[in-house]
Amino acid sequence: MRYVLVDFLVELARSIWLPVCLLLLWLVVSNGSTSIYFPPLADIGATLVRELFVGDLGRNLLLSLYNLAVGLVIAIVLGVAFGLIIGRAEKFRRVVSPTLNFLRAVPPAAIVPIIIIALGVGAAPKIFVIALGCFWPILLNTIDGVRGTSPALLETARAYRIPSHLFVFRVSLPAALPQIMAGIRVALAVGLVLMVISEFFGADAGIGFYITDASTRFAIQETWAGTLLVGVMGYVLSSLFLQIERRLLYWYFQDGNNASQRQSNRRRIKAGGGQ
Amino acid sequence: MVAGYRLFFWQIFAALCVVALWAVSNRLHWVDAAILPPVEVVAAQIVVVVGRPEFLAAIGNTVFDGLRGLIIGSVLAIPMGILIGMFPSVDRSTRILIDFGRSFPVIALLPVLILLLGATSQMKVVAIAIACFFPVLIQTIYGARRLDPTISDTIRSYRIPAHLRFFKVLLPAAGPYIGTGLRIASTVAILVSVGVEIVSLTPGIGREIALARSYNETATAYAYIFFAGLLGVLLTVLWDRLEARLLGWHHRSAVE
Repeated sequence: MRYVLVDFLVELARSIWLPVCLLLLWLVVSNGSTSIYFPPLADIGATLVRELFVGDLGRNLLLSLYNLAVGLVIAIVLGVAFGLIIGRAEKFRRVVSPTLNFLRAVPPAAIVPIIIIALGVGAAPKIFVIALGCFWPILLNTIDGVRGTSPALLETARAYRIPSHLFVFRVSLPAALPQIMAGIRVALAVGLVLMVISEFFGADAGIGFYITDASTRFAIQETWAGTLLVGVMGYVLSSLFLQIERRLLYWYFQDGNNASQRQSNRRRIKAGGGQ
Repeated sequence: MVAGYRLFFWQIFAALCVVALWAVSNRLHWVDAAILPPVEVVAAQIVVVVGRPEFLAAIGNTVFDGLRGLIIGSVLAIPMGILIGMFPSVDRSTRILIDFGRSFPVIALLPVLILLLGATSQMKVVAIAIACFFPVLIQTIYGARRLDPTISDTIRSYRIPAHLRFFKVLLPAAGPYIGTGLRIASTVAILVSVGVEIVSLTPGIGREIALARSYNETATAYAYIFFAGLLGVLLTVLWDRLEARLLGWHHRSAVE
């Protein structure tokens, strides 16, 4: 048992030594910095903790996360539902694919000023923008996933005359799930960007508002603190999502073939990157 | 099977259906005209906008700055990615940093970047370069990591020197992955370019969208959004062509 612990600590040390060193380097180099633009990291950290627990950074963060969560859920429900339908109807897919590809190519950030200014500062327009941007990668990946269902599986389902509701939920959906999760991962990144950018425009709350508000007041420490918090949040969210993905797809990763195949699947991930 | 020209006809029809749906929702006032102006007004603006002097400049700025950011980001990311992929220990120790960087929404960095560099096109290029760096880096690492064991054994037994290993083996082997990374990054470049322009009003399509919107010319804003979408489609087509040409050997070898 002791060896297990030692092994774990060695592994941990191997993966965190560099980030820790860089953080320490930043801490040391910025220490006593008098530049207004690069405040000492220690001060930023102190500001972050103070604002998070005493000030309103915590409240703003929760508000933003709420918008992101609702928008993402709407996009998942609609994207997967339409994806399952379109993925099954091959002729229909080929007919609508140029239109879908065009709509997908429109930068979602471009619609933000229109929607936000027209609909006001509430949560609804932000959720709408997030849902719209997240919808496309999920839809296109679901379509690809459904289309990639192995022919043997389809033949078997047909031979046994599996009723259609069972077919959708027990065959199509699980078969497309790896690709759907890849789509949601892209959508999470897109959603994060849209969450922040929608709060840059008319907003009176949220982490994006907090950052711009601080920067226009030249509150540099608060600006840095908010920005770093967004980074940490992005990292935490994507790590969390990776855990969920592993849980949900354990059957998929068990097969050694899939683990390597998944890498090549990346090239098919539509609207990748998400920035 | 739908035959070629019939498929094309139906595809046009599908696009027209979307336009028709838009027109109907205008007529029946389903959506506020401030959000979705009448489709014919937007169509007219698409034509009008092309004739304006700022149109080509806006497209040029967005594309050119996007390209500059993409090149800077890739030039930094490709060698670094191959080095990281070559050494498992480096791979391990950089993983957290890379995961942090890839999940960081660059747009959130804008207020800090604007404070540091001002709302200039230089700042825009820096933001784009940061955003493009990570997809290229990650794909390059994948490519360099997944070297065929036969090849790596051969290299070791022939004692191929490191620089040859880098240029003649790892770089071509990672080529298809780097291609994927560049492809993702070029989409990212356009998205970030437009996003930065909207927020910071640096010259480009995004600035025209934001300005048109603030002058209450929503239809003009939509016309520019249309061209931004067209740019994205063009990029996809261009990459499909390029990949088919450059990486033909890769697909061929995959078939064999």
